[in-house]
Amino acid sequence: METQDKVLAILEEITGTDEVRDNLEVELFDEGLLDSLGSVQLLVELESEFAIEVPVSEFERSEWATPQKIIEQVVRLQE
Amino acid sequence: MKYMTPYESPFYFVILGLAFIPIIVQLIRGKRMLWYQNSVTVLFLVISFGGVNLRQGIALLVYVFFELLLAYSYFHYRQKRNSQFIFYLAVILAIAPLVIVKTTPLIRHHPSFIGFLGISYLTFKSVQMVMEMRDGFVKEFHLGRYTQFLLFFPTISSGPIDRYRRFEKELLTPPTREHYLELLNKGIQNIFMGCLYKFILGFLLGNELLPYIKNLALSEGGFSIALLGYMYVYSFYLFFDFAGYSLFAIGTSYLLGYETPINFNKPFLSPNIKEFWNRWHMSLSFWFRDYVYMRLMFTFMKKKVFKSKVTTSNVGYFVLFLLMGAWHGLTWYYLVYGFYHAMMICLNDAWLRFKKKHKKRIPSNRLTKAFAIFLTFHVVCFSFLIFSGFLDTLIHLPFR
Amino acid sequence: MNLKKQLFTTFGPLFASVVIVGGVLTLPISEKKVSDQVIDKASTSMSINVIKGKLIRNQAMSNKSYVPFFGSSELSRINAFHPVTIAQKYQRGYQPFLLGAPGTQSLSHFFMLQSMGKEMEKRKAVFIISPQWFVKKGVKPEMFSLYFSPLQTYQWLNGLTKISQEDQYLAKRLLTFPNICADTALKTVLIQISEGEAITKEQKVNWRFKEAIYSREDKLFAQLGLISKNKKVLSAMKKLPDTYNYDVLDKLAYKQGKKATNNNPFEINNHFYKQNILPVERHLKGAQKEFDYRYSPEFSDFQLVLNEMAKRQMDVLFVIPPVNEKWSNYTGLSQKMLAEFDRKITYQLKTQNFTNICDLSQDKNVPYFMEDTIHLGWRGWLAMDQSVAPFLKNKKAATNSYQINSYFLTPDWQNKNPKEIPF
Repeated sequence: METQDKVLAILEEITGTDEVRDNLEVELFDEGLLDSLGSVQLLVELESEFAIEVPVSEFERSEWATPQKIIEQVVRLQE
Repeated sequence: MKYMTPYESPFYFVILGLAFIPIIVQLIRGKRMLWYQNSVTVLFLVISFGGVNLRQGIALLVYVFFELLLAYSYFHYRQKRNSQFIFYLAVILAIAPLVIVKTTPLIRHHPSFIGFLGISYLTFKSVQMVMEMRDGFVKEFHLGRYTQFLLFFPTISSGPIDRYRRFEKELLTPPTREHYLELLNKGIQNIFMGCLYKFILGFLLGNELLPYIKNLALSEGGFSIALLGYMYVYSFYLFFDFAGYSLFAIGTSYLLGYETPINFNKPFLSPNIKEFWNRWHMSLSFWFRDYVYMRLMFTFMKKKVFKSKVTTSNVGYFVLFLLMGAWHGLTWYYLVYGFYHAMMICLNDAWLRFKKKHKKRIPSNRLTKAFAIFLTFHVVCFSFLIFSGFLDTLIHLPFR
Repeated sequence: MNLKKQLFTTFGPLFASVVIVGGVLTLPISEKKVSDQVIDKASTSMSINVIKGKLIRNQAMSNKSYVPFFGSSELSRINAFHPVTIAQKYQRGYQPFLLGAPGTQSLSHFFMLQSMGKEMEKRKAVFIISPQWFVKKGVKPEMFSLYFSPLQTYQWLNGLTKISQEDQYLAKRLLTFPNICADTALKTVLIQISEGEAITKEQKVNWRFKEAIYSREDKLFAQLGLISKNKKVLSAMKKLPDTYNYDVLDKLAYKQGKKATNNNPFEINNHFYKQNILPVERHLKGAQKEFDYRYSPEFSDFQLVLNEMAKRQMDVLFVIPPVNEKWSNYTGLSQKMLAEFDRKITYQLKTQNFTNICDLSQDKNVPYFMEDTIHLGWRGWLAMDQSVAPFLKNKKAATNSYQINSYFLTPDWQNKNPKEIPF
C-alpha cells in the first residue's frame, strides 16, 4: 500500500492533476498527462524513491500506460 | 540478371511474389523456413547491391562485418565490466562509418568509397544494439540473429527502423495461422496502397507538377506565389513518395511474417507539432525520442544539470532536432530545418503549458481544432520548403 | 471488418492505380496537330514542358519562320529591346522560339537539339552562352535533374547505332549525376555505353517501350500550363517608335535603362536590386573574388552542342554577353578572368569553324547595357540585334565546313589554361 501511495504522489506531482488518484486505469499518454519528458522524470523519481534501477531501454510505453500498470512495474522491479 | 534498388520498379514485385510463394505456404502452416528466407535475402541483396552497384555491395559487407565485430566485442566486455568510457567509445565507433560518409563530400567533393544505400538506417540499428547491451537487456548475443536483423532486406534501404528485441521475438516464434492470414491480407493491402502512393501519385507529383512549379518559381525569382505553390507540391510529393516506400517495406515484412513498425499515420492532420512527430517518419522520431532525448533527459535530471524542467526539456529538443538535421546531411538547410523544428516544438510546449493553466478561458471546439490542424500543416510545409534545399538554389541563382 | 469492406480496402488502391495508369496509357489522344496559338504561346513560355518534351518544340520547328534562340535566364528578361519584341515590332519575318530557362546549360541544350533531329537540318539558330555556366564542376546536379528529360535521353539511346567517342563522353558525364545513378537500369546501360559497348536489340525493346510511355505522357501534358510572355511583349512594343533607327533606339534604350535602375549605384534593375541584392548586399562585397570560369566540364558539354550543330549542318550565331562591370567591381569578380574565359571559348568555336560570334564581352562598362548583374538589358539587347538582324535576314543557312575536333571532349581541354592557348 505504501508503494501505491508513493507512486501516486509522484504521478500527481508530474502530471499536475489528482485525476491519477481517482482513476487508476486512466491512459496517461493518450490523455496527454504524460509525455517523454514526464516519463523520464517519473523514472528518475522512482529511482531515488525506491532505490530501483529502471534503464530507459526498459521503458516500453504500453507497459507503463496507466497508474495501475506503473505500480505493478515498480512492485515487480522491487522484488 | 536484372539489378534494381529495393522497390525501384513494379518488376521488383514480380520477383518478390515468385520468391515468396514457399515462405507464404509454410507460414500458413505455421512454420518459418529460415534457411529459405535467408536464401531469398541473399538473392535480393544481390539484386540491389550486385552488378553496377557492386561497389556498394562490398561496402555493405565490410560495414556489416565491422558492426558485428563491434557488437560482439562490446557484448563480451559488458559481461564483465561497465565503464562509461568504453560505452561512449563503442557508440562512437558504431557511428563512425556514417560520419565518414557524411563528411567526405564536404572535403573531397566525391561520395565516399565506404558509402552504400541504407547506411544511415543500418547505423540506427547498430547504435541501438550497443545501447541496449549497456542497459543489460541483451542477455545473450546471437551473431546469426543479429545479422538477420541488420540485413533484413525489406527495410534495408530506408527503414522503417525496427527494434532488435521485437524482431528477435518474431524471428523465433512464427505467427499463428490466423494471425498470419491477417498479416498476409494487410501486407498485400499495404503494397497496393504503396503502388498508388509512390508509383502513381508520387510519380505524377514528382515528375510533372514539381518540375513545372519549380521552373515557374525559378523564373519569378525570390519569394513568389509559385514558391508558395512549390512548398505545397513538395510537401505532398515528399509524403506520397516516402509513405509509399514505407508501405512497400511494411507490406513486404508482413508477407514474411514480421510486423515492422509503421512510419506514417495521417501526419498532415496533426493538431500540433509534437503530435506531428508522433505521426511523421515515426520509426525515426521514436528512435530519436528513445535513444537520444529520453537518455539525455535522464542524465540531465539525475545530475540536475539545469534547475528548471522547462530548460532541461528545451535543451533536449534542440539536441535531438539538430542531430536529426545533421543526420539528413551536413548542409545549412538541413541544420536550419532541425533548428526550426526544435524552436517550434519548444513554442508548442510553452503553449500547452499556458493552455493547461488557463483551461477555462481558452475555447475548444471544432473550429479551433480545424484551425490547429491548418496552422500545424503550414508550419510543417514551411519546414519542408527549407528541407527541400530549393531556397539554397534560389538564393544562389541570380549571382552565379 | 466484413469481407466486402476488406476486399475493397485491399484491392481498392490497386484498382485505382490500374485505372489511372490505364487511363494515361490508353486515353484517346487526338492525333491532331498542336494548334498555332498554342505554339505561339509556347514560343515565349520557356516552360519546362517545352524543354523536356518533344511534341510542341518539334512541331514548332517544322514551321520555318520560328528560329530557336537557345539560352538561359536572360531570355526571360522581356523588355522593349528583347529579340522577341524587336522581331514582332519591326516585322522581321522570323519569330524567336525561346529554348531555355533559368538554370538550363549545355547538356539540356544538347538533348533538345538531338531530340529535334531532322527538323534542325540546315537551320539557323541563335545561341547565347553564359560564362556563369563554366564553373568548376559544371551544371549543378539539382539544376540538371530539374531539366533532365527521360524522353529525350531514351530518344538518344534508341538512336544509337555505333558508339562514338561523343556518346562515350556523354554516358560518362551523365553517370556523374545522382539522379541518373538512382535509376539502376539507366545506370547499367550508360556504363555499357561509356565502355564503348553497343546496345543490343533486346535492350532496345525495353528502351523503346519506355520512350513510348514518356512520349504519351508528353502528348497528354505538354500543352497544360503554358504561360506565355506575349502580354509583356505587347506592352513593351508600345514603347518603341514605328521605324527602326539604331541611333534613335539606342537613345531610347539609354533613357529607359536610366529610369529603371535609379535606386542603386550598380545600374541594376530596381526590382531585381530590391528583391535579390539589397537583403544580402553587404555579404556580396568581394564575395566573387575566387569565381573562375576558365576550367570546367561545361566546355566539353558545350562541345556536344557544337557536334550536334555540325552534324545537322546548322548555321548558328553565338552570343557572349559581358558581366556588369559596376557590379563585378563590387563583388570582386575578375574581369581579367572573364577575358581569359572569352579567349578559351572563342578558340573552341573558331578553330572548329564556328565563326559567327557576337562577342559583347568588352561592353561591360557601357551604361545600361545590362539589365542587372549578368543579364543583357536595354542597350545590350539592341547591340545584339545589330548582329542578329543581318544574320537572320536570309533564312537559308550558309554552308559551313565545320572541323569538329574531339580534343574538346577531353579533361585536358577542360583544364587547359587559356594563357597556353596559341591564338
